[in-house]
Amino acid sequence: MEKLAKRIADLIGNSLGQDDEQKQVVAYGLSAILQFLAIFVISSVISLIGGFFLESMIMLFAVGLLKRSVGGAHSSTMLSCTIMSILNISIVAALAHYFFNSSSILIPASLVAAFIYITALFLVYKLAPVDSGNKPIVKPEKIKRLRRNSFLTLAVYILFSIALLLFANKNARLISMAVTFAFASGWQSFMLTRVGAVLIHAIDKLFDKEKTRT
Amino acid sequence: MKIKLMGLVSVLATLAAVVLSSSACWFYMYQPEEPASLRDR
Repeated sequence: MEKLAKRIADLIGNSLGQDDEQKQVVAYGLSAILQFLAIFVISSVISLIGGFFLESMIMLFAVGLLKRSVGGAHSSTMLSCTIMSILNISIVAALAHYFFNSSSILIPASLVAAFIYITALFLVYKLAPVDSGNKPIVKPEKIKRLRRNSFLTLAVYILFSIALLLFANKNARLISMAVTFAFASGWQSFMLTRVGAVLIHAIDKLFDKEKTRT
Repeated sequence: MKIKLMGLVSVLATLAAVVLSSSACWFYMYQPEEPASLRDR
């Protein structure tokens, strides 16, 4: 995908008379757009077949938006990131959809969501933002802004979950949607920890081995 | 028409790149090296 983005950026840059730096910026933006589209389209197809499209879209956008401010563990290649993201979105969305789908589970679901949110708030308070080698964050004002955005994003997710759970007696589907917001917050805050980073690197190595075998 | 389309793609990609540069990292679990003009550390 990165190579494709670079090729398109070179083609556009040459036609529009852009310099190398402009081409690199376009390639960077295009890579992000192409990766997002790949994750969005494949997750949508899987979730439409499995019947958990709404949970899947909540997971996709909630994790993605929270990650923009908290940072966290990263894959070493775009391919392993794309595969891991699709698996993560689909598995968590399916779990939320099939395990939290009746009004009899309203109280346990609320307790699970509350526990996850408290843990996520604690981890974000302790660790966010977590930067990466390719994008270090050192400016104190940027760190402050990202921390503020992290708490704001979590606060919005908590409010969404509360609102969905309050109306859940009319539609049990709202329970799984509320829990998905909590799962997304839990997953992304787990990615701030060392254990999260070790897990991502272990999965990365699996993909590397497969690549070497083929 | 082709040039207009290329211009549009270029603007959208640049916009995406600028929006991403102000955040802690990319939308998901991959973070390539940023172009020098976007670095805001």
